[in-house]
Amino acid sequence: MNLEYLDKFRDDFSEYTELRYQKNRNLRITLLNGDVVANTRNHSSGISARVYAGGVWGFSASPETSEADVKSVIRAATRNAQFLDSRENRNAMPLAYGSAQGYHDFSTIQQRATPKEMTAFLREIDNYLKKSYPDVSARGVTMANLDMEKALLNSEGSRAYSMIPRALLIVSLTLDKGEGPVDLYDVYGGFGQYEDNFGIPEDFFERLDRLYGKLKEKAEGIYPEAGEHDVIMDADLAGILAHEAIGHTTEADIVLGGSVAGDYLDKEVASPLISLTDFAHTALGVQCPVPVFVDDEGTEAKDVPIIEQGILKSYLFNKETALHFGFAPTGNARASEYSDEPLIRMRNTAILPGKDRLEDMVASIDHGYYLAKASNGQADTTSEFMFGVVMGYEIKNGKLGKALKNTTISGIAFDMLKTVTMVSDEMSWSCAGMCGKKQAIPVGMGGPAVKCRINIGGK
Amino acid sequence: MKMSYEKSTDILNKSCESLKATGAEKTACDLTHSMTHELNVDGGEISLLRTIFDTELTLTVIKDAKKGTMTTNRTDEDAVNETVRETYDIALSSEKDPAYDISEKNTLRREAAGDGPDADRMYERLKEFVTDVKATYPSVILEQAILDYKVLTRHYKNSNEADLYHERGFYQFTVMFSAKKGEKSSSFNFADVTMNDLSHHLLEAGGVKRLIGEAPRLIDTRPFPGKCIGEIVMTPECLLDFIMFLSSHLSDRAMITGTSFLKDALGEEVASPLVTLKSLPLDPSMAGGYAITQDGFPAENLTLIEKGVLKSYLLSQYGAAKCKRERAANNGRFYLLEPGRDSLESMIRSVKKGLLLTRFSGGNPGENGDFSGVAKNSFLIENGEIKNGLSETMISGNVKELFRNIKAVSAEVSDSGHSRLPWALTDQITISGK
Repeated sequence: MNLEYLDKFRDDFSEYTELRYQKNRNLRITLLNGDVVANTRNHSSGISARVYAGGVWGFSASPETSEADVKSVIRAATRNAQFLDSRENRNAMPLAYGSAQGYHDFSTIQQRATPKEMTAFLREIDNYLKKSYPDVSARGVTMANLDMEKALLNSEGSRAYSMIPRALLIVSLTLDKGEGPVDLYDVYGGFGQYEDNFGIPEDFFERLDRLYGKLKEKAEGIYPEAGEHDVIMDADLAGILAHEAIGHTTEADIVLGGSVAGDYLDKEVASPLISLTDFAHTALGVQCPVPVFVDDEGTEAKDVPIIEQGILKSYLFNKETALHFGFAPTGNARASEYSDEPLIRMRNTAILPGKDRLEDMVASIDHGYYLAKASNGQADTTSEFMFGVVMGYEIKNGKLGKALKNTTISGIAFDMLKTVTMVSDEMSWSCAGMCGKKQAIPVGMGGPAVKCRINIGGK
Repeated sequence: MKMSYEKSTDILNKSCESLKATGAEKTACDLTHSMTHELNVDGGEISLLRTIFDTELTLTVIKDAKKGTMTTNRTDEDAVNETVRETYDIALSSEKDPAYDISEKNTLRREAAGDGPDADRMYERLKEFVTDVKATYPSVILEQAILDYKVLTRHYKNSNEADLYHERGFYQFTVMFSAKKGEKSSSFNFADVTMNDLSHHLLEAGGVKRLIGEAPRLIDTRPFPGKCIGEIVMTPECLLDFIMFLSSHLSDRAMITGTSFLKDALGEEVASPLVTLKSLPLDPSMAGGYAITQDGFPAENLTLIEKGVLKSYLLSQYGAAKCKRERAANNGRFYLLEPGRDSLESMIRSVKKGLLLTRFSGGNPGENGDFSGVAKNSFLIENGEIKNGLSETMISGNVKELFRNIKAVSAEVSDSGHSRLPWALTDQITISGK
């Protein structure tokens, strides 16, 4: 569906209105120990309208997109807003922030692969795993692709189209040495479609060898000693920390919901070594994993420097919270499906690199841990966080020692960030971030390695 | 508008005809239509009303023992025909597996959607909830609350002449909240319940009042003193999390790969004799329960664990064929754990040093069942008494051992509409604070 089709309905807007067409194309193929246990596509598309009246919102969505259906959706959203407005009587100021335009189509320019070619690629990956690592007791190989296409129009004159793709290869391996199974996974790919990321299985063999090598180390690994320790959190964990423990607390709707960050604006919340930004589409001259140019309210997406040299400088805003706090909206309103309303979401959140070398950081610790890979993470309004750690090493006398079995780290992020004493000079992005705030949506998370003190679960 | 039986039959018949024309040996069409009327509270104010219609048509083709599946949310003739073609292509691109199959001939027609939504009644109930929480718990902040009414119709047909139809309507209420005083704030917590009607105040549903009422006591917290191997009393909400971890080891992925720690445990004692666990999607008091399994069989209620002994896995038709075991009578969820004889008070009184664990914030347990994470919204228990709220407190243990070590199950239960669970006391949990 193109923007010209949406233009037809401009005269149907009677209040502040956003009209969005969205199509999500999901593909998932999973091989489990060689069997194709999933080979599915899911195409979900439709139209939604959101209307603002007197400080409340109405929303409606339908998969049908004929002219009559679109008009019906706009009417239903308007009716819903008016229903609430008549009961709440809030008489809020109108939302008026001007307009933004954008057209960003990141569809591959290569010839599209057929389903058969994708399955054959995964089969070759699986064959390599089976042949190369005969002691592996379970193998999982998954292709998970998402193309997110949006066309947006609003009553302020914003007009934007985007097609943002992501293609992931997820490989998981399990070893059982008689003491219970030990597993490890890695994710490859990221921004772009299948053709931009995959196609030649051999390109991945070296990385799969590294994954297997780490799994073997982990199978021989130890549990860390429970308690507070000096650690180095590598980029994977620093990215989750930036997103989960800091980013969420600075989303303006969470601030209104009682986040501790509500009391910290312009205060010192971290070591001066820490700067943290939510990038819109480009970071340090390079395109981000989830580029956003115009958000789903029709606001131009801008970088938000959340922490600058340890000082909390900004929250993330949509139009309504910007009005509440007296700031400009930052372009953080995003919706996951056509039937979802835009929420304040991070885009690409990262701690910025420092000046230290990773080797020097390891050498600076007598007894501690190097935490390399996270599984999942959770945090709350107090900034207390928990991350699963699935790969790491002990550090003894400045050198990496034995690998770690699965563990968990936790802390109060705004306290923990004050303990940071070194930040590495290189950063990297994770390619597969998903954020689950009401609606699951792709996000970018990144950072350098960070030396700090943290609480580790163990035995 | 909900989708009528006649309309879904028409869509499915056309889809089945189109699939049949491909020459595939086995085909299945699965249509789900939903209508949602949803009120949202953000930052303590009712702020958004949503009305959403959605459709999902999933087509499955098995051709020469190869399987393809595709889902679309468009049901016009052109979209269906295009989806049929793509599903067929996906199947051809797949690989042979004799375990692929579709359900046998069965018929079912169950309609129980009721008359909702009552938009005015929903608004009144939510407004009453917001107003009463503000008045009764002034330090509590309602970060978000969602009250919705959903009508779901699912219609499944396949080439074995299975024809199953289920229509259900239910209310869902989810609330996320914290408490704040000055610059101090509690961790957020949440409660979710499902209901067949709106006859009760939302505060009285499931554990909503108990959990919101605890929030102000969790503004001032301290870490657990030191480290110990201790006991924990799990709330019903926390127990559900661990039941979900356990059920993942009874399901296809862990069983097919052989990584389940329960893979050879059928008929064996896998939990304390105090544990009887059932999955009851057909229980009328379980609002929103399903009558059709994911793979197109009529669902039945199921006992998973009886007095500690594993009675059933949660294997699908495919998983059962791969593992050469029985297909499960349902897909799990809607759990009931039989209440015990101990009062919650006596259970707490028996704990010398441990936790009342309300929420576990942790990574998914490893394949061996080991878990570790943070004790959230939880309280210290010392010498049989509930003391201060906790922060920066971690727990670790093993899911299998956690169920084996259950020493007491409460007579009191919390009924959230989607589960009915008691409190449970277990030990041998590593607790570490500062």
